[in-house]
Amino acid sequence: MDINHYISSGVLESYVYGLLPEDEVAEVEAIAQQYPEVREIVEDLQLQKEEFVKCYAVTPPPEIKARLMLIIRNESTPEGELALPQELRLNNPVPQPLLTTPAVKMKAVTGKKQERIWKIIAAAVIGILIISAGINFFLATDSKDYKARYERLIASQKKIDENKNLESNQTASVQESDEDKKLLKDPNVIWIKASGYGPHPDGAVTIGWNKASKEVYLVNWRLPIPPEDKQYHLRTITDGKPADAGILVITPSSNGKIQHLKTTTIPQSFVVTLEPIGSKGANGKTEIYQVAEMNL
Amino acid sequence: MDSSSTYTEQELVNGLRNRNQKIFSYLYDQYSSTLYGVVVKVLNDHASAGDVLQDVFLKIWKNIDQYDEERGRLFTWMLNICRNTAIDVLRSKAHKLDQKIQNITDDVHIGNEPLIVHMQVDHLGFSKMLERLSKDQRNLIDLAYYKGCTQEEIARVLDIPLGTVKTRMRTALNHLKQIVKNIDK
Repeated sequence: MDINHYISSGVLESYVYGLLPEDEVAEVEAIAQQYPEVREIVEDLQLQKEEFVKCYAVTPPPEIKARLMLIIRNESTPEGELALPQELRLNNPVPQPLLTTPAVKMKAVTGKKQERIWKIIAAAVIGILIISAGINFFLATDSKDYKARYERLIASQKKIDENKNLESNQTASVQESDEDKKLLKDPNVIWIKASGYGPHPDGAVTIGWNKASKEVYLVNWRLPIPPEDKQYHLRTITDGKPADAGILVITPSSNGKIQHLKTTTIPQSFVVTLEPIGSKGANGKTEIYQVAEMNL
Repeated sequence: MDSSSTYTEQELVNGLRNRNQKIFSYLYDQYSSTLYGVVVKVLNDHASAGDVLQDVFLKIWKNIDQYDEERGRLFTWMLNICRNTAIDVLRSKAHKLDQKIQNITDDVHIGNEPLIVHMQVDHLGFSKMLERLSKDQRNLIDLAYYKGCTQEEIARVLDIPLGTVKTRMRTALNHLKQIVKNIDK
């Protein structure tokens, strides 16, 4: 190879300024390893480029450093974890929006249950409206008090609107995300990182317990997707007695999001198990994946 | 951290590998304004530049084990992370090619913004000398380095043949090289 010709071809300048496609980058790096004179020129050019970019130095706002130091100090907590860019989080390869961490509702059954609750509320509201209209009709015909009737109608309309707003808030991920973000900072919630167990040595989930509401939360980082006929359970163990804390939703999109599980009084340990669907924790079919001790 | 203390490159790398927060803080103090300058110039948007700078430093902190001394200096590696992250954001914001051009035109004013642009004393002379680059040459370097345009894209944007882009780019980079050499003397 005519190395002088290579050097004068301009390819090294293009390399340093990031203008080359990936395959050519690898080629330049291989040649630089092989030829010290090429390496020296590349290093020179890099220094020059650095001088060039320093010309455009801008002092960043001071709060960025404060934020960064806080994140790295808390990097082993779920809050620190969630503050990281997606690609830096623990084995979480699925791209998700950074700023939204909507809670994952437990199982479709719960979703349906909630849907039913809203149907009942909607029916109740319609009922109230009909009753209110009936009363209004009665009052109107009885006392001809149009003003009172009008005001009552406005009030019931307001109530319907309020309920509607409430419903849309429940389904808006941003609202839920804010609530979940509060959980991360809530002094009542104890967050612990689970450890791996047996043939699954890596810690893959973070578990939280709310001292005030007794609710249990779980954030999955890297549990493998379960086979179709199996599901993950979270079980609590208190005084040697296991109790079911709920079934986990483990899908690519649930990673890094807070799952709300059942409530439990002062749990001592948590165990994440993989079990055949409907097995109710039968021995021999349950595989333990994660364990966590709650030191209260 | 005593601001007067300095570290060798090896101490910085070892410190980051050992998760030393003081070293990280020092690194930030030393390099944040240069990296922030790159982000601002790429995005032309102060509002999102802060978040991007934060991500850049988190990548440096988290990925220090991927840094390979054999392939170049620490700052070169940091600068690459910075440029790539900012350009990824620029692309993800679905900025069209013409937006890139718009940014270049707007950039003419950035150099004149009072206070925000923090020229280091050592570089005052250098930046003056940079003015010796023709506007076309500066645009070419900006499009390529700060906007991540490939030479093919530049050819399309400026409506000139690819061969011409390559020749002009070489001339521009050579010119820049001469300027930097002169300032070193």
